[in-house]
Amino acid sequence: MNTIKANTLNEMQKLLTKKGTKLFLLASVLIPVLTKILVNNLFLTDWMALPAENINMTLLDLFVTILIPLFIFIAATDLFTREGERGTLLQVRPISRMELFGSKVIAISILSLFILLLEWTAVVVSSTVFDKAFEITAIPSSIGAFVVSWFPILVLTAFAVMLALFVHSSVLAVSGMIVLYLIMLFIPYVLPGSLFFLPTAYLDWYMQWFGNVSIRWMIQTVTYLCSSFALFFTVGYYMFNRKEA
Amino acid sequence: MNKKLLAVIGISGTLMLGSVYSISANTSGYDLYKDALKKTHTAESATLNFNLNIEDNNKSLLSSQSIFKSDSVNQVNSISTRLANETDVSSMNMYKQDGNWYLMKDGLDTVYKMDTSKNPHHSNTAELKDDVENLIDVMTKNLQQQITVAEKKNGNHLIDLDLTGKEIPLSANALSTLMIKHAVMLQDKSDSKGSDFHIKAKLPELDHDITVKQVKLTAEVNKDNYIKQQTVKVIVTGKEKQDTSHELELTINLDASDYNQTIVTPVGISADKVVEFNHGK
Repeated sequence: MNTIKANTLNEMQKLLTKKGTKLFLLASVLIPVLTKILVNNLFLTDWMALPAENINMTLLDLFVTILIPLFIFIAATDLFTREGERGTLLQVRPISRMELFGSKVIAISILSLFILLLEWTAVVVSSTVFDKAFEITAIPSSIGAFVVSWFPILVLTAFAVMLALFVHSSVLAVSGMIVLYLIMLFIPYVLPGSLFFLPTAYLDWYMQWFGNVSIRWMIQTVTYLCSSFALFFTVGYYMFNRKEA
Repeated sequence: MNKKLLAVIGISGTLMLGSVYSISANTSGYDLYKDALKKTHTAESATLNFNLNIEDNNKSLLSSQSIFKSDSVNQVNSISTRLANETDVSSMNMYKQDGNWYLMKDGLDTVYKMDTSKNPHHSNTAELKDDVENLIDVMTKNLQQQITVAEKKNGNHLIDLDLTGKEIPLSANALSTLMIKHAVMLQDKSDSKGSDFHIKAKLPELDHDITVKQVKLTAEVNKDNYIKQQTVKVIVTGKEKQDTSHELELTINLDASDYNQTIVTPVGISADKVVEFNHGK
């Protein structure tokens, strides 16, 4: 267990030294603050009274559907494809393959949770500062929405890691993942039947937690998220395990 | 080792497919309503009671009551409407027969004839409809969960969608606010012309803090999957330049009856009273 913890920290450190990661962390603070300033000082918004909470959720949407997936794709490529290219992926370490693989996945997951929480803090702080009508009572539901959004992101992480292991060139991996992601976003408009098959369909599932949640739906979606995570994680590990040191 | 992995892959894959299948198989209020709308469109004839009300701070600005009888087999329709704003009341009747619309207004001796043969909106758009349907299906994915269905004792289904404040999608809210602001500005411009033909509602000149407060849609679908009753209620709040706040409430109520049993009898229209009515005037 200690080796996993130690290596997770190690992998996180590797990611944190990358410029890209720093940029994402900066964006998760700057974007909410800038949006709030803009919304409250734009001439258009003078005559519109859009609920502040609504704007906060739109910010969450932006992160969950665009920025965090992008971060995941870059991080997964860095930790798997690029290290594979450089030959540093499977160095002789006192750690089993399973532990190595698991800690890399955990590192990406923790960082994406960290981005989410940082964004939430920025949203709430800038909302209290700039919005005239921000209610404290909205805080529990908003932190709930942000935390719940982490689960579909975990599935996407496992999916990205799996793809990163199939490809041997890091440029190809990142661009391939982005293109595939865009395809997954738009294919339901052409083939509506494919919608619930794709992990992208669940990224904004936090919306469905508002209002009356049906238990039936809850069981179905949680089953999907768990089983697809298990599937992508295992396939990814299988690929990882087959790699020659 | 590999066998264990394969087992995990097999089990999780099966579970995933199973959950996808069961999620797709969910029959929601949305599907019920969509099917009912489609079925209702195929009805050969029906009688519709259509009521529209606009209220401003609980004071009626405009109300209209219409009875619409339609027979699509014989291509005969009749509409009789009573319109009232704060000061005036007017009634008019419209008939569609022999491929044309005729309009009669109370107190006027002429019959206006509208030529609908040049209407460009009649092209067949079945394919487009399917595409639009797909688009709407995917875009409203999250709203669909908010639709509730209750079954009544007589077998009818009550469908209900009630969105307030933050539940209304931001883009829809912003767009309707934009439209209201625009409508107010247009009203300002056209006020001077003053048409005597239609009764208009004098909408308050909303200036700022405009927002859609509530959207509520209820529908009753009967056992044959026809829409029996439907109400749409939209509440918009906003303030005038002088900070007077307004709560505008739009209610549309539709009662449908006599599906496939409505008989519309054509009326006699004497040809010498007919005046051609041009849209482009």
